[in-house]
Amino acid sequence: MSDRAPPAVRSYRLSIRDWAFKYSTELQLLAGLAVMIAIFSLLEPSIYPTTANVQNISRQAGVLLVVAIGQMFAITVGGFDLSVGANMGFTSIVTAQAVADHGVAAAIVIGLLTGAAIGLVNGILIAKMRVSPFVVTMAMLTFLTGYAGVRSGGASVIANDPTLKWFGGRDWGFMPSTIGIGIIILLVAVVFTGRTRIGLYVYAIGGSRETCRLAGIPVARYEAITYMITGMLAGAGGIMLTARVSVGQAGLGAGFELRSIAAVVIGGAVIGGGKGRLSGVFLGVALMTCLTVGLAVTGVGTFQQQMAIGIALVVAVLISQMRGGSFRQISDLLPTLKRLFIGFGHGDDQSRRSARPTATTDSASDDTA
Amino acid sequence: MTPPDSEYGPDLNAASSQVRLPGDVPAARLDGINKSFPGVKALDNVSFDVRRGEVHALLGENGAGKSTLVKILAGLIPPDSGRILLDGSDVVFHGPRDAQRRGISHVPQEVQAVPDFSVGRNMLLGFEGPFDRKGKLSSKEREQTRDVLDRCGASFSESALSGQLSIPELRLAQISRTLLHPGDVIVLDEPNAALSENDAAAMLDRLRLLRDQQKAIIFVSHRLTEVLGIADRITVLRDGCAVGTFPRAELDKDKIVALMTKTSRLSDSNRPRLAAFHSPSVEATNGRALLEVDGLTREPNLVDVSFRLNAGQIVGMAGVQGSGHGHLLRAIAGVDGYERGQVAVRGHALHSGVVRGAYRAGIVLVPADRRASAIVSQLSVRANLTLPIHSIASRGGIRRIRKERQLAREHVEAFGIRPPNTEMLAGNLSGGNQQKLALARALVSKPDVLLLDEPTQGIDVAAKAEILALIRQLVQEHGFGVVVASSEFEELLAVADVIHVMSRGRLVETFPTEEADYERILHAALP
Repeated sequence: MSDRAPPAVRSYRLSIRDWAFKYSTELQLLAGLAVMIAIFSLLEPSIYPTTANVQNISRQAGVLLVVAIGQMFAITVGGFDLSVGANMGFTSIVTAQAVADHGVAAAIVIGLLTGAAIGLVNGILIAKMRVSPFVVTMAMLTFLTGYAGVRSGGASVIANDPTLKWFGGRDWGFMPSTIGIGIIILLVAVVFTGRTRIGLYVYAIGGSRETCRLAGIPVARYEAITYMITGMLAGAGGIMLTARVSVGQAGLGAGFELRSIAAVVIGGAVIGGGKGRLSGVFLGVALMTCLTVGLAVTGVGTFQQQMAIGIALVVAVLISQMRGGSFRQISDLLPTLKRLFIGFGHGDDQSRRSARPTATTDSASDDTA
Repeated sequence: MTPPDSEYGPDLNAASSQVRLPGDVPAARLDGINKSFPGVKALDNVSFDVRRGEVHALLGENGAGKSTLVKILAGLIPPDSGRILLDGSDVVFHGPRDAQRRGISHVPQEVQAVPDFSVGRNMLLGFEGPFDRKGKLSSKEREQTRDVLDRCGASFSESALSGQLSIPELRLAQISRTLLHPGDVIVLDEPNAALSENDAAAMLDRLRLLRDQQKAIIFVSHRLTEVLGIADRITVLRDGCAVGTFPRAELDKDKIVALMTKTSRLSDSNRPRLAAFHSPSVEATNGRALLEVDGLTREPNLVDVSFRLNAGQIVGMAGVQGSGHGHLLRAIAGVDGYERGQVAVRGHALHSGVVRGAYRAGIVLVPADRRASAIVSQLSVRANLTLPIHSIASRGGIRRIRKERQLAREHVEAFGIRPPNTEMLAGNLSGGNQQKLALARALVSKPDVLLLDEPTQGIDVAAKAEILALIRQLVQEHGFGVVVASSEFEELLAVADVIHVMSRGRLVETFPTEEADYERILHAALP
């Protein structure tokens, strides 16, 4: 950044180094995934690395992928959605009932609209009324769980329709339909985030609401739309689960709210907004599903699986924070820890470090001039 | 740097018993402090000390490094290099609590209080016993806090809820908090910025008392009269360097202004070339002013402010911190509402407090708080430039990437953003380049009225000159009107056609730039 004549404006291609830096979370996840798969394959060579198991994993991953993509939008715009699981259960009931009354095609449309409507209500409350996402989506979770029970009379709704099975129950050739749908939605989402104005605004609003406001963007509208998309994708997940188990159930999506948030955060998104990539979400979902299935296959109990997921979540986030500034923060903790354990002595000069992460000298700026 | 004691004049306040033992070590000493923030060197080899029983005032323009220096002493930020000595021995602070424990009391510039706690509870924050209740104060606590508040001349009770107090009252409470458990070194960062004359006077009396108790007091302020009334020594900072330390007797208001004034005017050579990407967008205004502001009032920051802005004109709003020039821009842009008055663009009045309305009328604000509100640091330069809603780079909600890249390349080139990489994250740019990006983005919005709030705050000198040149060039090419609010007056002298001076929310003086000079502005601006 000298006073020399400015060099020609660089082309928009990223160098390999920039690329590796930008996608370091993904690279770490890929490495972690490879190590994990290798370990499970060595432990259970006859079960884990088989076609049947890969299909099994992807069958489970498909639904989570769809919901997690939706969750990523909510997190990227600066909030989160705790109601996705309840949304799935409610949509499941609505869809199952609609299949009996109106046929599969109508039922799917109704299901998606239901999910979207739920998301829109969340979005309006959060973006326009400025209620905190936690309160809004938790209230929605509670409300929907109850309402689903009211609609179904507390019972499951049979939805045993052969056509519906194509959307989450059967395999499309060798590929389970859930992962097929998941990948289609993923591709659509890639185009959405990269090529549309709303996609850009999701990131921009999450990054700096105030900047967007001053740039003349109707922030509340776009934020509400984002939650609507989250809701719609949760609805899609509900439909897929309904197709898979052939019944509509209020409790079908229980646990998906936290699993989807975990997958998104493992994938490098930041609670608070502005950051989050679909590639990371995909790998986060893959990692979580491979881990759960792997643990189940090796005979680890359900409770221990939950413990493992919890640990994985924190470890993944810690590792991804270790690059750049936060690594320094961790090393800065050392003198504090030392003092905590050794008592309050006077600090020594060795612990002094430069004040802040050198944000301007990230590798991205290496090719200056 | 430190003058010998004999230089102290006889006119010093007799009450300030100058107990100066031979070989007296300063209570606190900063030695050769360096501190850089991304894109700017905040402190350059600054040394500074304060002795027991003296008030040492720290003066300088905004951005001169005063706050950075006291924050380092208070343990809020670590220095890049340099030593901190307390009573002659080296120390390293691990955070503010550490500094407090070693006897440094800091009253920060910003008002800080838990709004749901009572004043007394806030004052005692961090000093509670293990079983103190959140709600009512014990009678002992009540007595303690009441006593300090009384001595500071507070008109509110210790049981009042902090959230219901006004800013000046909260300030007073905050100062009282420090006086409750004063360390040996007391650092006050602009303590009287929002205080009324009476409260400020009471506060100064209290400081004199502390001085008599052999406390070492560091006093940062803009109010020269007060500084001259209380300080024993005065250190002037300029652009991160210490200009010098002087005994009170050697200085008067004029001398201080001269010391604070920079000798080198910003040159306007070295202007970057600007590609003609935008066509002039301002239509004829039929003889009317482009922007008319009438009697804008939002107590206490804005009081009856009126001015005109014509197309192709640059109006400068000068003021020291807290004088309301930034609030004025925010009110015009609709970020803040106002109580009375009117803002009109081409004769059409705007609604108070509606950002979108102002934006549609062609008003675009580039706020002072760059990182938080002028750019999106997590997005690339290109994406930042695509943000404005009417950007040409999208059609029917679909982004036209090719067009975006072209737009980004042309703007990066025209505004001289370095490194010239359109895909770089905006947050990784230096401050000056972030500001150029913010300007470029504002221009993509095709403004009629561009409001720039402290456009060169925290930017190094070279980038400052470049940005000012850019502003002038943009106005010449596009013919829109610009209002620049700044507390760095020589940049207004370099860029503006007319300079209005604001003080305590009022427009106190207006100079055509030819007639203005730095000292006249400073004189008018200082309350």
